[in-house]
Amino acid sequence: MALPKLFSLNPQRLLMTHYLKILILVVFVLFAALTIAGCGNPSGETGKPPDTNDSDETDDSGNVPCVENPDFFQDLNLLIDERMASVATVTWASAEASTDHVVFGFPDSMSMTSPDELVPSINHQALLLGLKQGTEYAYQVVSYSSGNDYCSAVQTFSTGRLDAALPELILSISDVARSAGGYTMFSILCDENYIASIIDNDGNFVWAYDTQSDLVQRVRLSLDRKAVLYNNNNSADVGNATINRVSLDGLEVTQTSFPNMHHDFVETENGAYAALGWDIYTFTTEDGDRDICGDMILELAADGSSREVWNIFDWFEPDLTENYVDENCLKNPDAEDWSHTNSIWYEASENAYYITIRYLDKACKIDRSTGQLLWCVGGIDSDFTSIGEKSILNEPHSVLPVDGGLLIYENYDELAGSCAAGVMVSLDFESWTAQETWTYGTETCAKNMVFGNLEPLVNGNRMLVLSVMGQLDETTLDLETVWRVNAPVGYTFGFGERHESLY
Amino acid sequence: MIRFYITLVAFAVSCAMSRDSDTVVPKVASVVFSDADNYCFIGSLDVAGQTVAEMTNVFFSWTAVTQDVYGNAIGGADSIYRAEILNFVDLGWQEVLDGIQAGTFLQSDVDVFAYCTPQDTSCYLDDFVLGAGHPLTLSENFVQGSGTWLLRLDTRDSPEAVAELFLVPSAKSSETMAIVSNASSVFNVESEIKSVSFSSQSDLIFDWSALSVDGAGQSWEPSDADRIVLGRFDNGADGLGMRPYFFSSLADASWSADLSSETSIHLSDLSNAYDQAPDFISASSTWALALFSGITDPNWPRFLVVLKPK
Repeated sequence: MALPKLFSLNPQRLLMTHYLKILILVVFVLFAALTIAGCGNPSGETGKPPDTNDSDETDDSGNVPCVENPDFFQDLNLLIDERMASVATVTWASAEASTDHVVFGFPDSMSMTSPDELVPSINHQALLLGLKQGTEYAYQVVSYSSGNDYCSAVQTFSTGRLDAALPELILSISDVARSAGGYTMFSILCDENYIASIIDNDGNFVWAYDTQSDLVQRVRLSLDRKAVLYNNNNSADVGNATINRVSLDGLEVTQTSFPNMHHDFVETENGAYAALGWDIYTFTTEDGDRDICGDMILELAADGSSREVWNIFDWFEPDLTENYVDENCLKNPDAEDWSHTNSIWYEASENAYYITIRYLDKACKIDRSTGQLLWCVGGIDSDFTSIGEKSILNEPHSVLPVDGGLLIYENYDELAGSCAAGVMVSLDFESWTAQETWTYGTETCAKNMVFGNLEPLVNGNRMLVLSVMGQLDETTLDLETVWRVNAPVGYTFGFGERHESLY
Repeated sequence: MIRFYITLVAFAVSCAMSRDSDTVVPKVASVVFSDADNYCFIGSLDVAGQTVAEMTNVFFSWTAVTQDVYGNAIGGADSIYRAEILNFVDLGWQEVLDGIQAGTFLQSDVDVFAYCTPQDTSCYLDDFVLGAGHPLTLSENFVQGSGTWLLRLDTRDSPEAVAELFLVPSAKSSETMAIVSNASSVFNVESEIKSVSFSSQSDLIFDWSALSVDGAGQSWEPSDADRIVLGRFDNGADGLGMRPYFFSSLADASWSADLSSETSIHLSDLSNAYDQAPDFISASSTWALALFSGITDPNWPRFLVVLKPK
């Protein structure tokens, strides 16, 4: 049988690929054993799961080293459902039990792969993710069976248009060589509704789901990487707030009630969540009763049970000589919004939560098991002494632990005259000092007053999300902007996060 | 009410340049268009301004708005589902209108973008919120000398605002109400549509490869056209000149095709909503052909001509 033009058959290479797979399997088993024994992630780095590379099964020219054998693949079928027209589902049956994957991409350069199956089987299914809407692609199934590496013929297909009123985003800056690449997910307010969305490094939408909600602030990839999660914080009725799970193929949508949730949530284990929640205390003063709005960390387990992990009123007291702003507390707009906790991250390796408290200018660490407030940096009565000219933390809106300290996003503060920025706060746990050691702001003072966050990226770069400015920036550590996406006027974002791969 | 007017000459082009507008094309299969066949278009958007008291929770009402800036009836003032306020600290009125008209503004260009979802046909200034549902006491920022403030009203039927009004916060004003009316914003259009005659037949090929200037006098590449629409106008195409934006909706019947980089197309490659191609272009009706380019504006014809079959 003649080999197709795209392939180069090299038996030695095929043999090496096989040995490489065995080696990867051994390493995987060892790593899993270590993790189960409690040795996982000792570095203290962020606990986000590692992403996988897109194209580690292709050779240098993007070709697949396999023998074309279409007869090996039966009932090969590609389906695109209009509910998620940029995701393709490929199904097939192999002539014998095998571990397969699909190579796909533009017809002239198939550079992406679905993950290798781990267990040999006859019937197979793979999702093709990261596809632009309305675009022609090609794909090919690659199969590893007993001693043979076969692949199907290359077939082409076209994605459809996503079923959402999406704007045309503008890729303002793109230094492909220096950008981390990957996929950025965020909510975007389009007219009346928020759309949970994912864009690729070209600024093109590759996934979008119209939430039919007027308040979706956080979109995350599920821990099992099979779905997109978003919070519907339901501005009109916070008692009906929900966490929603939409499978990546768009076909399965489930909703979990999470009353009184606001701003942010995180998935702690598969199907279990922690989120910020409203809490209102009534304080009796000489001038009468005052309803003060504060915050809690609430957990919802996969079995539906819930618990309050932490309550700000147990650790801080409002200064009743002050009048706090109203309207921002959606549980009761007449209550005074005192603390305004606004972001949460769960660090699995430490079994701890990190939160930012905007109006107290603090980022805090909380033990998940005990609910103990371990420490806070910034604001009044900080556990850390501030070093340097600039006081630590001003209107923070996101926090992530990294080696040596915290990555924090700070909002624009008109009164203080400070611009929206991403900062690195280095923490010294011996001297209990904190110092701002890295700051990225845009070339003009970014006046992003609402939402926003800072994300570390796999290549060391960082992504700054300027939510209501409708802007995403990726910067190098030496403050060079290497990627920027802008929304046209009228469109705003929620929080954003980046993944190297959607698998 | 003190009113200000600004005129934006959005697209200025001399309508004088023209070849014989009734060119007779020989009876051949191809109808080859030239720049001289293209329509010419002059548009200006007049937007009024109203002075109101600064740092005041101003009341906005648009009960009297019954039509959009082009004069098309809207489905009542209550069809306006969203009001927007845009503040540009460093831009003047004309710069703001230029940017909006050209569609070049980014969200990051706006110093404040806030919106209100009205319960009826009005909003207070402090009803407006930022993205992510964040409340905002906008009246605190609404001070004299704080740049350009523009109020825009949206319906679901149009990608553009149906009415606009500049707001001028003033320390000297005690006006607490701003009324938006049909006269607040008007788009004035002058255009001339030319015609091309040819022998009616079914195997026509339309060829626009020689075009280089669009109807607004801007240079363009004919391969930039991404959509072609053939319209049949049973009562003539006189209204088209004033409203080229509504080419498809004004037509009694239309056939279209998406284009990638083609610069010609066979008549039979056009289709209507029922996936049917036109049989032929009969002389009993008025026909017009338009080319669009989503790069600029998906609804403005870059090329527009009346077809006169014989």
